[in-house]
Amino acid sequence: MQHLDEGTIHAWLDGALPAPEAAEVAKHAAECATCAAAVAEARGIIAGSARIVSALDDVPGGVIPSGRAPAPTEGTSMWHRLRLTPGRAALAATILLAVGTTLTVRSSSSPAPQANVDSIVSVAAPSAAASAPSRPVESVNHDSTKVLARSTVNAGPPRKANVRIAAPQTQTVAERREVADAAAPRETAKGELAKTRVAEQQVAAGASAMPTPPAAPTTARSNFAQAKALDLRADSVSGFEGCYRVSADSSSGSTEMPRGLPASFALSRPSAQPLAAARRAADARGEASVAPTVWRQLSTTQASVTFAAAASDAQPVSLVLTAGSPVGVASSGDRTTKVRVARSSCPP
Amino acid sequence: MTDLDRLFREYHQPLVRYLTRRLGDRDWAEEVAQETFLRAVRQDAIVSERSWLFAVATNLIRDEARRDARRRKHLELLRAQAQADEVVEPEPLTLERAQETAIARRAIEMLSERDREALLMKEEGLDYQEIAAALELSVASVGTTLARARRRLVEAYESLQENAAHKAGRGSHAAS
Repeated sequence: MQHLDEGTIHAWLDGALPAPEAAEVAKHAAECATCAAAVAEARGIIAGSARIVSALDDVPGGVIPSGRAPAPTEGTSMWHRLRLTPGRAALAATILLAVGTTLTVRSSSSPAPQANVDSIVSVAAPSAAASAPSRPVESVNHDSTKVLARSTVNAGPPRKANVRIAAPQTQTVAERREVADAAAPRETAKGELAKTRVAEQQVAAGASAMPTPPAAPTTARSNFAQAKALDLRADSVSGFEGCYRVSADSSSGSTEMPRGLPASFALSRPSAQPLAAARRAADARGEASVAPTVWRQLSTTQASVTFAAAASDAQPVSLVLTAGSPVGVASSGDRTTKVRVARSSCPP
Repeated sequence: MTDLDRLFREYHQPLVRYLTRRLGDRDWAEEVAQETFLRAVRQDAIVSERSWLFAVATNLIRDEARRDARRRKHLELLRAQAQADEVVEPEPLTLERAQETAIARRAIEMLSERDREALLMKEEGLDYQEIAAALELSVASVGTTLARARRRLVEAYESLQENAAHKAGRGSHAAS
Protein backbone atom coordinates (compact mmCIF):
# COMPACT_ATOMS: atom_id res chain seq x y z
CA MET A 1 0.00 0.00 0.00
CA GLN A 2 1.25 3.43 -0.87
CA HIS A 3 1.76 6.05 1.76
CA LEU A 4 -1.34 7.81 2.87
CA ASP A 5 -1.98 11.15 1.25
CA GLU A 6 -2.77 14.10 3.41
CA GLY A 7 -6.39 14.35 2.26
CA THR A 8 -7.06 10.77 3.18
CA ILE A 9 -5.44 11.17 6.56
CA HIS A 10 -7.63 14.21 7.31
CA ALA A 11 -10.72 12.43 6.03
CA TRP A 12 -9.85 9.44 8.20
CA LEU A 13 -9.28 11.63 11.23
CA ASP A 14 -12.54 13.50 10.48
CA GLY A 15 -14.37 10.21 10.37
CA ALA A 16 -15.44 10.84 6.81
CA LEU A 17 -14.13 7.59 5.33
CA PRO A 18 -16.31 4.56 4.90
CA ALA A 19 -15.66 1.84 7.44
CA PRO A 20 -13.65 -0.53 5.19
CA GLU A 21 -11.43 2.26 3.93
CA ALA A 22 -10.98 3.62 7.44
CA ALA A 23 -9.90 0.19 8.65
CA GLU A 24 -7.27 -0.05 5.94
CA VAL A 25 -5.92 3.41 6.76
CA ALA A 26 -5.76 2.55 10.43
CA LYS A 27 -3.88 -0.63 9.69
CA HIS A 28 -1.41 1.13 7.43
CA ALA A 29 -0.81 3.95 9.88
CA ALA A 30 -0.01 1.38 12.51
CA GLU A 31 2.52 -0.36 10.29
CA CYS A 32 4.09 2.61 8.47
CA ALA A 33 6.22 4.94 10.55
CA THR A 34 6.17 7.66 7.91
CA CYS A 35 2.39 7.60 7.67
CA ALA A 36 2.15 7.40 11.45
CA ALA A 37 4.20 10.57 11.67
CA ALA A 38 2.01 12.16 9.01
CA VAL A 39 -1.06 11.17 10.98
CA ALA A 40 0.41 12.67 14.13
CA GLU A 41 1.24 15.86 12.28
CA ALA A 42 -2.28 15.98 10.82
CA ARG A 43 -3.74 15.65 14.29
CA GLY A 44 -1.74 18.64 15.40
CA ILE A 45 -2.74 20.66 12.36
CA ILE A 46 -6.41 19.88 12.87
CA ALA A 47 -6.20 20.88 16.50
CA GLY A 48 -4.24 24.00 15.65
CA SER A 49 -6.57 25.10 12.89
CA ALA A 50 -9.57 24.53 15.11
CA ARG A 51 -8.00 26.73 17.77
CA ILE A 52 -7.26 29.45 15.23
CA VAL A 53 -10.80 29.36 13.91
CA SER A 54 -12.20 29.54 17.42
CA ALA A 55 -10.04 32.61 17.99
CA LEU A 56 -12.20 34.33 15.41
CA ASP A 57 -15.07 34.10 17.86
CA ASP A 58 -13.09 35.80 20.58
CA VAL A 59 -14.37 39.29 21.02
CA PRO A 60 -12.44 40.49 24.01
CA GLY A 61 -13.98 43.14 26.17
CA GLY A 62 -12.47 46.56 26.34
CA VAL A 63 -11.03 46.69 22.88
CA ILE A 64 -14.24 47.72 21.27
CA PRO A 65 -14.08 51.47 21.09
CA SER A 66 -16.72 53.26 23.00
CA GLY A 67 -18.02 54.67 19.78
CA ARG A 68 -18.81 51.17 18.60
CA ALA A 69 -20.16 49.81 21.81
CA PRO A 70 -23.71 48.58 21.39
CA ALA A 71 -26.25 51.22 22.12
CA PRO A 72 -23.78 53.56 23.74
CA THR A 73 -26.49 55.97 24.74
CA GLU A 74 -28.34 53.39 26.74
CA GLY A 75 -27.25 52.86 30.27
CA THR A 76 -24.79 55.71 30.20
CA SER A 77 -27.13 58.63 30.17
CA MET A 78 -28.35 59.95 33.50
CA TRP A 79 -31.83 60.14 32.06
CA HIS A 80 -31.72 56.48 31.13
CA ARG A 81 -30.35 55.49 34.52
CA LEU A 82 -33.06 57.45 36.24
CA ARG A 83 -35.62 56.19 33.75
CA LEU A 84 -36.78 59.73 33.54
CA THR A 85 -39.32 60.20 30.84
CA PRO A 86 -40.66 63.60 29.84
CA GLY A 87 -43.90 62.81 31.63
CA ARG A 88 -42.13 61.89 34.84
CA ALA A 89 -39.93 64.94 34.56
CA ALA A 90 -42.98 67.14 34.20
CA LEU A 91 -44.59 65.52 37.22
CA ALA A 92 -41.46 65.98 39.29
CA ALA A 93 -41.22 69.61 38.23
CA THR A 94 -44.84 70.16 39.22
CA ILE A 95 -44.28 68.67 42.65
CA LEU A 96 -41.15 70.73 43.17
CA LEU A 97 -42.99 73.85 42.11
CA ALA A 98 -45.85 73.11 44.49
CA VAL A 99 -43.51 72.46 47.41
CA GLY A 100 -41.50 75.54 46.61
CA THR A 101 -44.63 77.66 46.40
CA THR A 102 -45.89 76.33 49.71
CA LEU A 103 -42.61 77.00 51.42
CA THR A 104 -42.43 80.45 49.93
CA VAL A 105 -45.93 81.29 51.06
CA ARG A 106 -45.21 80.00 54.52
CA SER A 107 -41.92 81.82 54.85
CA SER A 108 -43.23 85.07 53.44
CA SER A 109 -46.39 84.98 55.48
CA SER A 110 -44.65 84.10 58.72
CA PRO A 111 -41.25 85.72 58.91
CA ALA A 112 -41.49 85.65 62.65
CA PRO A 113 -42.62 82.24 63.82
CA GLN A 114 -43.26 83.83 67.13
CA ALA A 115 -46.13 85.72 65.61
CA ASN A 116 -47.82 82.53 64.54
CA VAL A 117 -47.39 80.51 67.62
CA ASP A 118 -47.47 83.23 70.14
CA SER A 119 -50.43 83.12 72.31
CA ILE A 120 -51.70 85.58 74.74
CA VAL A 121 -52.14 84.39 78.19
CA SER A 122 -53.27 86.20 81.20
CA VAL A 123 -51.15 85.82 84.21
CA ALA A 124 -52.31 86.69 87.60
CA ALA A 125 -50.89 86.67 91.00
CA PRO A 126 -52.57 84.14 93.25
CA SER A 127 -54.39 86.83 95.11
CA ALA A 128 -55.65 88.47 91.98
CA ALA A 129 -56.69 85.21 90.52
CA ALA A 130 -58.85 84.49 93.48
CA SER A 131 -60.61 87.80 93.35
CA ALA A 132 -60.83 88.34 89.64
CA PRO A 133 -64.33 88.46 88.29
CA SER A 134 -65.44 86.24 85.53
CA ARG A 135 -65.46 87.87 82.14
CA PRO A 136 -66.41 86.56 78.80
CA VAL A 137 -63.89 86.39 76.04
CA GLU A 138 -63.93 89.27 73.71
CA SER A 139 -63.70 88.53 70.10
CA VAL A 140 -62.10 91.44 68.36
CA ASN A 141 -62.52 90.42 64.81
CA HIS A 142 -64.75 87.76 63.33
CA ASP A 143 -62.95 87.59 60.01
CA SER A 144 -60.91 84.73 61.20
CA THR A 145 -59.97 81.79 59.14
CA LYS A 146 -61.44 78.47 59.90
CA VAL A 147 -58.33 77.35 61.64
CA LEU A 148 -58.17 80.38 63.82
CA ALA A 149 -61.81 79.99 64.64
CA ARG A 150 -61.16 76.43 65.63
CA SER A 151 -58.44 77.66 67.87
CA THR A 152 -61.01 79.72 69.67
CA VAL A 153 -63.42 76.83 69.88
CA ASN A 154 -60.80 74.53 71.22
CA ALA A 155 -59.98 77.00 73.85
CA GLY A 156 -63.19 76.11 75.52
CA PRO A 157 -65.63 78.34 77.32
CA PRO A 158 -64.77 81.81 78.49
CA ARG A 159 -62.16 81.69 81.17
CA LYS A 160 -62.12 83.43 84.44
CA ALA A 161 -59.51 85.34 86.29
CA ASN A 162 -56.04 84.29 85.29
CA VAL A 163 -57.00 81.71 82.71
CA ARG A 164 -58.06 83.32 79.56
CA ILE A 165 -57.86 82.53 75.92
CA ALA A 166 -57.88 85.46 73.62
CA ALA A 167 -59.76 85.13 70.38
CA PRO A 168 -57.78 85.38 67.20
CA GLN A 169 -58.25 88.43 65.13
CA THR A 170 -56.86 90.00 62.07
CA GLN A 171 -56.22 93.56 62.94
CA THR A 172 -53.55 95.61 61.41
CA VAL A 173 -51.01 97.34 63.58
CA ALA A 174 -52.91 100.58 63.41
CA GLU A 175 -56.16 98.89 64.30
CA ARG A 176 -54.57 97.19 67.23
CA ARG A 177 -53.17 100.44 68.44
CA GLU A 178 -56.56 102.03 68.20
CA VAL A 179 -58.10 99.23 70.15
CA ALA A 180 -55.35 99.44 72.70
CA ASP A 181 -55.70 103.14 72.99
CA ALA A 182 -59.40 102.91 73.38
CA ALA A 183 -59.12 100.25 76.01
CA ALA A 184 -56.25 101.84 77.86
CA PRO A 185 -57.12 103.24 81.25
CA ARG A 186 -57.74 106.91 81.15
CA GLU A 187 -55.54 107.47 84.09
CA THR A 188 -52.59 105.95 82.36
CA ALA A 189 -49.69 108.32 82.41
CA LYS A 190 -48.59 109.71 79.12
CA GLY A 191 -45.09 108.27 79.42
CA GLU A 192 -46.40 104.86 80.33
CA LEU A 193 -48.70 104.92 77.37
CA ALA A 194 -45.76 105.72 75.16
CA LYS A 195 -43.89 102.76 76.57
CA THR A 196 -46.86 100.58 76.03
CA ARG A 197 -47.01 101.67 72.43
CA VAL A 198 -43.36 100.86 71.94
CA ALA A 199 -43.92 97.43 73.41
CA GLU A 200 -46.96 96.95 71.22
CA GLN A 201 -45.08 97.99 68.15
CA GLN A 202 -42.34 95.54 68.94
CA VAL A 203 -44.80 92.72 69.20
CA ALA A 204 -46.86 93.97 66.33
CA ALA A 205 -43.78 94.14 64.16
CA GLY A 206 -43.77 90.39 64.26
CA ALA A 207 -47.52 90.10 64.27
CA SER A 208 -47.94 92.37 61.31
CA ALA A 209 -46.03 89.99 59.14
CA MET A 210 -47.93 86.97 60.30
CA PRO A 211 -50.37 85.32 57.96
CA THR A 212 -53.23 87.55 58.77
CA PRO A 213 -56.44 86.13 57.43
CA PRO A 214 -57.15 88.89 55.02
CA ALA A 215 -60.41 90.77 55.00
CA ALA A 216 -60.03 90.88 51.27
CA PRO A 217 -58.32 87.59 50.55
CA THR A 218 -56.15 87.41 47.53
CA THR A 219 -57.02 83.94 46.45
CA ALA A 220 -58.70 81.02 48.00
CA ARG A 221 -55.60 78.99 47.48
CA SER A 222 -53.39 81.34 49.42
CA ASN A 223 -55.93 81.36 52.22
CA PHE A 224 -55.88 77.64 52.30
CA ALA A 225 -52.11 77.60 52.44
CA GLN A 226 -52.06 80.08 55.26
CA ALA A 227 -54.73 78.29 57.19
CA LYS A 228 -52.96 75.01 56.71
CA ALA A 229 -49.69 76.48 57.90
CA LEU A 230 -51.33 77.86 61.00
CA ASP A 231 -53.08 74.61 61.61
CA LEU A 232 -49.84 72.70 61.57
CA ARG A 233 -48.15 75.19 63.83
CA ALA A 234 -51.04 75.18 66.25
CA ASP A 235 -50.97 71.43 66.50
CA SER A 236 -47.24 71.37 66.99
CA VAL A 237 -47.32 73.43 70.16
CA SER A 238 -50.41 72.01 71.74
CA GLY A 239 -48.31 69.93 74.12
CA PHE A 240 -47.47 72.97 76.21
CA GLU A 241 -51.02 74.08 76.63
CA GLY A 242 -52.28 74.17 80.14
CA CYS A 243 -51.86 75.84 83.48
CA TYR A 244 -48.64 76.09 85.39
CA ARG A 245 -47.60 76.92 88.90
CA VAL A 246 -44.23 78.51 89.52
CA SER A 247 -42.27 78.49 92.73
CA ALA A 248 -38.76 79.21 93.82
CA ASP A 249 -36.27 76.45 93.34
CA SER A 250 -34.94 75.76 96.79
CA SER A 251 -32.42 73.27 95.49
CA SER A 252 -30.57 76.09 93.78
CA GLY A 253 -30.34 78.00 97.04
CA SER A 254 -32.80 80.66 96.06
CA THR A 255 -35.98 81.20 97.94
CA GLU A 256 -37.17 84.20 96.01
CA MET A 257 -39.02 84.30 92.78
CA PRO A 258 -37.60 86.52 90.08
CA ARG A 259 -39.35 89.81 89.99
CA GLY A 260 -42.10 89.92 87.45
CA LEU A 261 -42.51 86.17 87.29
CA PRO A 262 -46.07 85.23 88.23
CA ALA A 263 -46.90 82.44 90.61
CA SER A 264 -49.16 80.84 88.07
CA PHE A 265 -49.96 81.24 84.46
CA ALA A 266 -51.67 79.47 81.65
CA LEU A 267 -50.67 78.80 78.11
CA SER A 268 -53.43 78.75 75.64
CA ARG A 269 -53.55 77.24 72.26
CA PRO A 270 -51.53 79.50 70.02
CA SER A 271 -53.44 82.22 68.40
CA ALA A 272 -52.78 85.47 66.70
CA GLN A 273 -54.02 87.49 69.60
CA PRO A 274 -51.84 90.53 69.90
CA LEU A 275 -50.49 91.79 73.10
CA ALA A 276 -52.55 94.94 73.02
CA ALA A 277 -55.82 93.10 72.81
CA ALA A 278 -54.95 90.96 75.77
CA ARG A 279 -53.83 93.97 77.71
CA ARG A 280 -56.98 95.80 76.76
CA ALA A 281 -59.12 92.87 77.81
CA ALA A 282 -57.27 92.52 81.05
CA ASP A 283 -57.49 96.18 81.78
CA ALA A 284 -61.14 96.20 80.94
CA ARG A 285 -61.65 93.63 83.65
CA GLY A 286 -59.65 95.66 86.08
CA GLU A 287 -56.98 93.02 86.42
CA ALA A 288 -54.17 95.35 87.29
CA SER A 289 -51.90 92.54 88.34
CA VAL A 290 -52.47 90.52 85.23
CA ALA A 291 -49.51 90.64 82.92
CA PRO A 292 -50.28 89.55 79.40
CA THR A 293 -47.46 87.71 77.79
CA VAL A 294 -46.50 85.72 74.76
CA TRP A 295 -45.07 82.31 74.40
CA ARG A 296 -43.70 80.23 71.65
CA GLN A 297 -42.30 76.81 71.19
CA LEU A 298 -38.55 76.69 70.78
CA SER A 299 -38.44 73.04 69.90
CA THR A 300 -40.47 69.94 70.38
CA THR A 301 -39.38 69.84 74.01
CA GLN A 302 -38.94 73.47 74.92
CA ALA A 303 -41.10 76.55 75.03
CA SER A 304 -40.30 80.10 75.95
CA VAL A 305 -42.80 82.23 77.83
CA THR A 306 -42.24 85.97 78.03
CA PHE A 307 -44.00 87.97 80.71
CA ALA A 308 -44.29 91.60 79.90
CA ALA A 309 -43.17 94.04 82.50
CA ALA A 310 -46.07 94.76 84.81
CA ALA A 311 -44.65 98.03 85.98
CA SER A 312 -42.76 100.81 84.33
CA ASP A 313 -39.67 100.15 86.35
CA ALA A 314 -39.75 96.42 85.82
CA GLN A 315 -38.22 94.31 83.10
CA PRO A 316 -39.88 91.57 81.10
CA VAL A 317 -39.18 88.07 82.30
CA SER A 318 -38.75 85.08 80.09
CA LEU A 319 -39.22 81.55 81.27
CA VAL A 320 -37.98 78.54 79.38
CA LEU A 321 -40.00 75.40 79.96
CA THR A 322 -38.66 71.96 79.20
CA ALA A 323 -41.08 69.16 78.65
CA GLY A 324 -40.80 66.61 81.41
CA SER A 325 -38.57 68.77 83.55
CA PRO A 326 -39.78 70.36 86.80
CA VAL A 327 -37.21 73.09 86.49
CA GLY A 328 -37.60 76.17 84.37
CA VAL A 329 -35.09 78.90 83.69
CA ALA A 330 -36.26 82.42 84.23
CA SER A 331 -34.32 85.32 82.74
CA SER A 332 -34.77 88.97 83.46
CA GLY A 333 -32.21 91.39 82.20
CA ASP A 334 -28.89 89.71 82.76
CA ARG A 335 -30.13 87.58 85.64
CA THR A 336 -30.97 83.93 85.23
CA THR A 337 -32.76 81.99 87.90
CA LYS A 338 -33.94 78.44 88.14
CA VAL A 339 -37.52 78.02 89.27
CA ARG A 340 -39.77 75.10 89.91
CA VAL A 341 -42.50 74.76 87.34
CA ALA A 342 -45.34 72.35 87.75
CA ARG A 343 -48.49 71.81 85.83
CA SER A 344 -51.63 72.59 87.70
CA SER A 345 -55.26 72.12 87.04
CA CYS A 346 -56.83 74.99 85.26
CA PRO A 347 -59.67 76.72 87.04
CA PRO A 348 -63.03 76.09 85.50
CA MET B 1 -44.08 25.30 14.40
CA THR B 2 -43.50 26.50 10.88
CA ASP B 3 -40.59 25.45 8.73
CA LEU B 4 -39.03 28.83 9.17
CA ASP B 5 -39.20 28.54 12.94
CA ARG B 6 -37.67 25.11 12.90
CA LEU B 7 -34.93 26.05 10.50
CA PHE B 8 -34.14 29.14 12.48
CA ARG B 9 -33.97 27.32 15.80
CA GLU B 10 -31.85 24.54 14.39
CA TYR B 11 -29.42 26.32 12.13
CA HIS B 12 -29.35 29.99 13.03
CA GLN B 13 -26.60 29.78 15.60
CA PRO B 14 -24.13 27.68 13.59
CA LEU B 15 -24.87 29.62 10.45
CA VAL B 16 -24.28 32.98 12.07
CA ARG B 17 -21.11 31.69 13.68
CA TYR B 18 -19.87 30.41 10.34
CA LEU B 19 -20.71 33.69 8.67
CA THR B 20 -19.16 35.72 11.47
CA ARG B 21 -15.97 33.76 11.20
CA ARG B 22 -16.07 34.14 7.49
CA LEU B 23 -16.86 37.84 7.41
CA GLY B 24 -15.51 39.11 10.68
CA ASP B 25 -18.64 41.16 11.11
CA ARG B 26 -21.45 39.97 13.33
CA ASP B 27 -24.04 42.37 11.95
CA TRP B 28 -23.21 41.46 8.44
CA ALA B 29 -23.39 37.79 9.36
CA GLU B 30 -26.82 38.28 10.89
CA GLU B 31 -28.08 39.98 7.77
CA VAL B 32 -26.77 37.25 5.52
CA ALA B 33 -28.25 34.60 7.78
CA GLN B 34 -31.65 36.25 7.70
CA GLU B 35 -31.54 36.49 3.96
CA THR B 36 -30.57 32.84 3.84
CA PHE B 37 -33.53 31.79 5.95
CA LEU B 38 -35.90 33.89 3.87
CA ARG B 39 -34.70 32.16 0.77
CA ALA B 40 -35.11 28.83 2.47
CA VAL B 41 -38.75 29.60 3.07
CA ARG B 42 -39.27 30.43 -0.58
CA GLN B 43 -37.53 27.24 -1.63
CA ASP B 44 -39.95 24.45 -2.52
CA ALA B 45 -37.85 21.47 -1.59
CA ILE B 46 -34.52 21.23 0.14
CA VAL B 47 -32.78 17.90 0.17
CA SER B 48 -30.04 18.68 2.65
CA GLU B 49 -31.07 21.59 4.79
CA ARG B 50 -27.75 22.33 6.41
CA SER B 51 -25.68 22.13 3.26
CA TRP B 52 -28.30 24.11 1.39
CA LEU B 53 -28.31 26.86 4.01
CA PHE B 54 -24.54 27.06 4.15
CA ALA B 55 -24.29 27.03 0.38
CA VAL B 56 -26.81 29.82 -0.01
CA ALA B 57 -25.13 31.81 2.72
CA THR B 58 -21.78 31.30 1.05
CA ASN B 59 -23.18 32.35 -2.30
CA LEU B 60 -24.66 35.44 -0.72
CA ILE B 61 -21.28 36.29 0.65
CA ARG B 62 -19.89 35.93 -2.80
CA ASP B 63 -22.24 38.51 -4.09
CA GLU B 64 -19.69 41.03 -5.16
CA ALA B 65 -21.97 44.00 -5.22
CA ARG B 66 -23.22 43.30 -1.77
CA ARG B 67 -19.78 42.62 -0.48
CA ASP B 68 -18.36 45.76 -1.98
CA ALA B 69 -21.05 47.87 -0.42
CA ARG B 70 -20.53 46.19 2.85
CA ARG B 71 -16.81 46.51 2.59
CA ARG B 72 -17.09 50.21 2.09
CA LYS B 73 -19.19 50.42 5.19
CA HIS B 74 -16.87 48.09 6.98
CA LEU B 75 -13.91 50.24 6.01
CA GLU B 76 -15.69 53.24 7.41
CA LEU B 77 -16.25 51.39 10.65
CA LEU B 78 -12.64 50.32 10.75
CA ARG B 79 -11.54 53.87 10.19
CA ALA B 80 -13.79 55.08 12.97
CA GLN B 81 -12.52 52.28 15.14
CA ALA B 82 -8.94 53.21 14.42
CA GLN B 83 -9.66 56.77 15.39
CA ALA B 84 -11.36 55.66 18.58
CA ASP B 85 -8.54 53.26 19.30
CA GLU B 86 -6.21 56.18 19.60
CA VAL B 87 -7.86 57.20 22.84
CA VAL B 88 -8.84 53.78 24.15
CA GLU B 89 -6.12 51.89 25.94
CA PRO B 90 -7.16 48.29 26.45
CA GLU B 91 -5.73 46.23 29.25
CA PRO B 92 -2.59 44.23 28.44
CA LEU B 93 -4.37 40.90 28.57
CA THR B 94 -7.16 42.21 26.42
CA LEU B 95 -4.68 43.60 23.97
CA GLU B 96 -2.98 40.23 23.77
CA ARG B 97 -6.24 38.51 23.04
CA ALA B 98 -7.15 41.12 20.51
CA GLN B 99 -3.83 40.64 18.80
CA GLU B 100 -4.37 36.91 18.67
CA THR B 101 -7.75 37.41 17.11
CA ALA B 102 -6.37 39.84 14.61
CA ILE B 103 -3.69 37.37 13.59
CA ALA B 104 -6.25 34.62 13.25
CA ARG B 105 -8.35 36.90 11.11
CA ARG B 106 -5.46 37.75 8.89
CA ALA B 107 -4.47 34.09 8.63
CA ILE B 108 -7.92 32.98 7.60
CA GLU B 109 -8.07 35.77 5.06
CA MET B 110 -4.89 34.47 3.51
CA LEU B 111 -6.61 31.26 2.51
CA SER B 112 -8.30 30.83 -0.81
CA GLU B 113 -12.00 31.37 -0.71
CA ARG B 114 -12.83 27.77 -1.23
CA ASP B 115 -10.40 26.53 1.36
CA ARG B 116 -11.66 29.06 3.83
CA GLU B 117 -15.30 28.18 3.31
CA ALA B 118 -14.66 24.47 3.47
CA LEU B 119 -12.68 24.84 6.65
CA LEU B 120 -15.24 27.06 8.32
CA MET B 121 -18.06 24.76 7.31
CA LYS B 122 -16.19 21.80 8.73
CA GLU B 123 -15.64 23.66 11.96
CA GLU B 124 -19.37 24.22 12.08
CA GLY B 125 -19.95 20.50 11.97
CA LEU B 126 -20.85 20.00 8.37
CA ASP B 127 -19.77 16.62 7.13
CA TYR B 128 -17.92 15.96 3.91
CA GLN B 129 -21.08 15.35 1.93
CA GLU B 130 -22.61 18.60 3.09
CA ILE B 131 -19.46 20.56 2.40
CA ALA B 132 -19.23 19.01 -1.01
CA ALA B 133 -22.82 19.87 -1.72
CA ALA B 134 -22.49 23.42 -0.47
CA LEU B 135 -19.28 24.13 -2.35
CA GLU B 136 -20.10 22.00 -5.34
CA LEU B 137 -17.10 19.78 -4.81
CA SER B 138 -16.65 16.05 -4.99
CA VAL B 139 -16.73 14.35 -1.66
CA ALA B 140 -13.33 12.86 -2.31
CA SER B 141 -11.79 16.30 -2.74
CA VAL B 142 -13.12 17.66 0.51
CA GLY B 143 -10.46 15.88 2.54
CA THR B 144 -7.73 17.31 0.37
CA THR B 145 -9.29 20.74 0.50
CA LEU B 146 -9.54 20.62 4.25
CA ALA B 147 -6.05 19.28 4.67
CA ARG B 148 -4.66 22.08 2.55
CA ALA B 149 -6.74 24.70 4.25
CA ARG B 150 -5.73 23.58 7.70
CA ARG B 151 -2.06 23.38 6.92
CA ARG B 152 -2.01 26.77 5.25
CA LEU B 153 -3.97 28.28 8.06
CA VAL B 154 -1.60 27.00 10.69
CA GLU B 155 1.43 28.00 8.69
CA ALA B 156 0.04 31.46 8.05
CA TYR B 157 -0.86 31.89 11.67
CA GLU B 158 2.56 30.84 12.89
CA SER B 159 4.22 33.09 10.38
CA LEU B 160 2.15 36.05 11.43
CA GLN B 161 2.82 35.33 15.06
CA GLU B 162 6.54 35.19 14.45
CA ASN B 163 6.38 38.50 12.65
CA ALA B 164 4.41 40.04 15.45
CA ALA B 165 6.83 38.70 18.06
CA HIS B 166 9.73 39.94 16.01
CA LYS B 167 8.20 43.40 15.77
CA ALA B 168 7.43 43.42 19.46
CA GLY B 169 10.99 42.36 20.30
CA ARG B 170 12.42 44.98 18.01
CA GLY B 171 10.17 47.59 19.54
CA SER B 172 11.16 46.70 23.08
CA HIS B 173 14.82 46.57 22.09
CA ALA B 174 14.58 50.00 20.52
CA ALA B 175 12.80 51.29 23.58
CA SER B 176 15.52 49.95 25.87
